This record gives sequence, structure tokens and C-alpha cells, in this order.
Amino acid sequence: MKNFGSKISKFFLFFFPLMLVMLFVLFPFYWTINTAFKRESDIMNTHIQYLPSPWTFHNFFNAWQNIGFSVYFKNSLIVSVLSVILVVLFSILVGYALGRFNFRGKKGFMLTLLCTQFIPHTMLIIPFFLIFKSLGLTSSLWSLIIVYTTFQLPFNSVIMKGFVANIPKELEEAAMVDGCSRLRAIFNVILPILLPGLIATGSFAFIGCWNEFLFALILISKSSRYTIPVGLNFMMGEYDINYGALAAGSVIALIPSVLIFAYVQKYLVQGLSTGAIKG
Amino acid sequence: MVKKWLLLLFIICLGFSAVCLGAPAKIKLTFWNNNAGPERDPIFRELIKRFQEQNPDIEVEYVAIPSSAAKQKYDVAAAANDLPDCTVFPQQWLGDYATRKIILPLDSYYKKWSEGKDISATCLQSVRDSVSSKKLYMIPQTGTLDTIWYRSDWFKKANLPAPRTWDDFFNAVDKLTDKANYRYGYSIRGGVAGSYPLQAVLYSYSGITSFFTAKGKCTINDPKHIAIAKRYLGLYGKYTSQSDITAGYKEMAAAFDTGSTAMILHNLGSYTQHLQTLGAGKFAAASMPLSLTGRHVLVAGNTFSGYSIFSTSKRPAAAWKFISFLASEKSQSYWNQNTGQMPTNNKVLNEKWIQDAPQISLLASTLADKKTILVASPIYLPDYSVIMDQVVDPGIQMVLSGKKSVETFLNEWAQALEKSKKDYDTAFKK
Repeated sequence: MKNFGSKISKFFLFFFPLMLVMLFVLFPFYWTINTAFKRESDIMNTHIQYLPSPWTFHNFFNAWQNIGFSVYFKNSLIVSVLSVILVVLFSILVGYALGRFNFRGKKGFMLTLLCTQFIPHTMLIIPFFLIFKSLGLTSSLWSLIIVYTTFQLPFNSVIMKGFVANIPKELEEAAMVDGCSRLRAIFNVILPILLPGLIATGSFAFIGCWNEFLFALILISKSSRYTIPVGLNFMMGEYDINYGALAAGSVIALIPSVLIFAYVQKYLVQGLSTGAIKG
Repeated sequence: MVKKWLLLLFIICLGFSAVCLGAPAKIKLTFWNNNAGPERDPIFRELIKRFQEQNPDIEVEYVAIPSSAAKQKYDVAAAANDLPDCTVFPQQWLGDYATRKIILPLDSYYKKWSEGKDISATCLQSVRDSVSSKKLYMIPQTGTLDTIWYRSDWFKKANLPAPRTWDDFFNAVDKLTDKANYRYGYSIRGGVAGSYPLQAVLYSYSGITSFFTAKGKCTINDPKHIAIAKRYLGLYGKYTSQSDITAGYKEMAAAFDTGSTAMILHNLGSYTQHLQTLGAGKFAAASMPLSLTGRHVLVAGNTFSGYSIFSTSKRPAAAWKFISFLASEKSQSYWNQNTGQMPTNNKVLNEKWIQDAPQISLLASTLADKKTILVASPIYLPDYSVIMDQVVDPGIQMVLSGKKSVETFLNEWAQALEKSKKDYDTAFKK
């Protein structure tokens, strides 16, 4: 009886709230996927279909081939991957400097890094545009890579500082005693231990770059160089919304994020808590 | 040996020169579309293809811009002096861009244009009225008027006439509301840009023909407007869905297209979506109901969209060649027929497909009716859009939620417009 009571209370206090939260989280995914496989005429039908009938891949074909998601996807991938590489590389160096050295103005520098997060990005659009124009980089994917790296770097450097501070200094000192240079010690000794931190910062940077819309629209004036968030907005004209292609495009846009988070989930939780506590 | 090499080099250089001189450089134009989408992009691409076939010396680069952030993109490009050669955009941007001298006056080009006389004089006048100098900064290519979309099948079943008068309208709202079955008589646009349909309702009811009196007093808070605003906004909750308080275009159209509401107030632009979702025969369009003066009084301001040339263009003659092609009879016919909108070219307005599209012919005949009055909204005021977005839209929500009276709301709206006009007149020493 006691066992039964504890099972009941566990269900109501643990599983039931979790199921409720799961329902809220998963329902939009379910509905998007459901819509993506429906015919356009079935999507706006007053008779709600909880499963597509008949199933169709037309929306995916339309989004990928006709609307240009194949191009947008490629552009997003190039911009996000290169930005992540730069963000991770620079944040290791900044994080290492902040975690290992004491120098004049360190606290002020940390504060500046954090303060950059309070500046609305919209305010920076015109200055960025003018800079890229003078460099001849408007409508180039490099402009987005530079902007995303600039925006992602401060926050990720602060997170990385927490990870570096958590690694005993003696490890790299031992390596340096054995003849390693500091840079080699960082890349050969510290980097493997930093893996959870790299994954945490890399994932956050990737999602930030992958979803960014405003700069991708403003800085790029060639349809062939637009990224996925801009492509998704195309499906929402002022008076016409292509719900099927929009849902299919959203599913395509979701795939990398879901795959990344599925793979790095364990590192991410570990990484975030480490960075947060030791920061 | 050296001679041989020099000779080879000379021949190569000669070859290059011949190639370079033989192929005259193409004129490259950049054209921006402020309202891109899966429906309109292929239409523009087809028109560009046709233009390039006729003009092999000109190459047009088409840049599709999603409407959600289009104004921001144009503004940033203007601030950075990095605008394209030409564009299509809505009439409501004209006043701002003409004041800032971002776009070119087209009067001199228009005078020499053989097809210029075919563009409707009403449309041209409305576009001229959008700027204080009354110059022509845009060639209108399509127009849309405030339209009441109604479920003709429901009206027929309930034996109701199409809403020709305001009494017809309110009667139909009452009769077609069936809250027990989640069916409402009307959907109020209480969210983003709800200010524009409300403005249309006020003037089309009262029949007042100007936003300002000769002394500069705004007519928005006229007693007739207060009366209709009370009746119209009073529909909320009783005859409309509670969620209408945040409904923008997409929510409002979805309510109509999914059979939740009998009527919405929008314009011709949503025709294709209604057709795709509801199918033919289930819905119809009606002009705004007759005003107290017995005339159709329609607010103009965002009625037309058309083509302009940016003043930064280094190839304005080629840009004119292109936009005059887009605004020509054939192109207008193709564009408007495919988007279900009303052309501005008189010859196209007489084409057969217009007669087969009752919603367009109805509005075209309303516009052509000599008794119809177009009230020019003050879009030339630089902060007109700001007032509509930041004073009127939240004001509507305050009224709908019962936090503000209609009188206070309309007074605040009128004061904001009066102040803006006063500032504008002072700046231009009127």
C-alpha cells in the first residue's frame, strides 16, 4: 500500500508535470511536421487533420527546389560553421587570458564584455553597413561571418573563462617544464580537457548564427546569398502565406539544430554548469 | 627569340582588345521588390525575362525582400547611400522618401512616355497628393481599395443582402454571429496596423472628405466618427472573437479562411489566399458601405504601389526604360491578373479578365464612379506611420479592453496629427 502511494505521488509530482511540459514543448514541433506533410488545401481546411492524409513531400520539394532553400541552407551552413570556428578559436584565447592571468583593467575588461550584451544589435546596423560598404563586403557572406563572430565572441569568452579557471594550472606548467611552449600547452593539454566548454560555446554560437535574421537581410542584397531565416520570411508575403512550404522550410531549418543538440546534450549540461559555477 | 616572345605577347594583347571591344558592356540595373513572396517573385522574374529579351543591352538584377523588415532595409541602404537603381514600393513611403530626396521626380520622363496617358488620372493624382510638392515620384502599377470580404454562402443561407450600407453591415454581423458554434459575424483587426481599417471605417461612414479643416483642426475626433467608432469597436467580444484584440492581418485572414468569421475588412490583396483556402463561390467582395452623404468615401494613402527610381542611380534613363516597361499595359495586365489586384492602366481595366473577376470590376467601378471621393490621408507627414503605430494601434487595444473611452482615444489621435501637421507646416513655412 505504501509502495502504491509512493508510486502515485511520484507520478503526480514528477512524471505528470514533466509530461505536461513535454506536451507544451513538443506540440509546436508536431504541428509543424504535420503541416509540412499536408497538401496546401488540407492545411487551411476547417476539418482539422491530426495526421496528414494523404502524405505529400511536395512542400519539401517546393521549399528546397523552387523557393531556393538548397541555396539558403548552403549559405547558412557556410556562415554558421565559419563563425563558430572563429568564435571558438578566439574565445579560447580570450578565456585563457582572463582565466590564467591577472592584469590591470581585467575586471573592467570583463565588465565591458558583459556590457556588450546590453547593446541592442539594431543600433549597430548602420555603422556595420558603412564599414562593410567601405571594405566592399556588402552582399558578401564574409560580412555576416564577421558580424556573427563579433556578437558571439564576448559572451562565449566569459563562458570559456569559467572553464579555463576550472582546469588546474599545474597541468600546463608540467607540460611547459617538459619543454612545451605556452601555445602548445594550450592546444595539446588544455584543449582536450576543455571539450565540454568548446561544445557548449560552439553550440550556442551555432544556434545564434543559424537563427539570425535582421543582419542577414540588411547586409545581403543578393537573393543568391540569403540565409535560411530570410528564406523563411519569404514564405510570409504581406498578403500570401505559403503555410506548407513555411512548415517544410522550418523542418529543414530545424534539422541541424536538433542533430547538434542531440549529439552534444550531455556535454552541454556538464559544460554550462561548470562554466556557470566557476565563472 | 625575344622578338618571337614579343610578337606572341602583341598577338595576345590584340586578341584581348578585340574581345573587349567586340562585346559592348551591358548596363546593369538593380531592382528591389519590397513585398517578395512565393506568389509574386515568379511574376517579377518573368517580366524581367521579357524585358531583357527586348533590351539585350540591359541586365536587371532582381532582389527580393521579405515585407516583414523591408522598410528597415530600405532605410539602412538610404542612410548608407547604397540604394538600388529602381524599386517597387507602397504609396505610404512616398512622402518620407520624396522629402528626403531619396527618389527622383519622374515628371519629365512621364511627359515623354507614350503610354503615360493610359494611366488612370485618379491614381496619378492620389500619388501626387502623397507629396507636398505634388510632383510625380511614382508610376502606380497596381491599386487596392478597402474591401469588405464576406462569406457569400452564409449570407445567401441567412437571406441577407451584401453589405451596401452600414446598417446592412451591422445587421449581418448580428445575424451571422453564432458563438455557441465559434462562428462570429466579424473580425476586428485589433493588433498590428489595426489603425488603417479603423480610419477607413470612420471616413467612409461620416463622408468627411478631408483629414484637416482649413484652420488645421483634425477631423478624426468629429462627433460622427465618435458615434461610428463606438458602434464599430463595440462589436468586440459580443460579435467577435476575444482574440481579435491582438489580431493582425494573418490572424484576421486565417479566421475568415477557416470559417470562423463571416466578414473581415481588408483589401484586394488577400483575394488569392481566400480563393486557395475557401474556393470559388463561397466568398465575395463588397466596397466600403455608403457614407451618410450617400457617396462612397474611401481613404487613400496606401492604396497604390508602383515604381520609382532612386536619386543615387547612375543609370536613371535605363531605370526609366525598365520601370516604364513594368508599368506598361502588357506588364500591368500580366502582373495584376496573376496577383488578383486592380491595375491602374485604363486599357487593362477594360480587359476581359477584369469582367471575370467581380471583386476587381466592383472596386474599379467604385473608383471610376464620379460620386466616389478619395480622401487623401496625411501620409506626407513624416511621423504619420509613427502615430499610427504608436498612438493609434495601442489606443484601439485600450478601447477594446475597456481601459480608455472612444472620445479620449480619438482626441489623442487628433491631437497627435494636429501637432505633426503644425510641425510640418512650420518646417516648410506654409
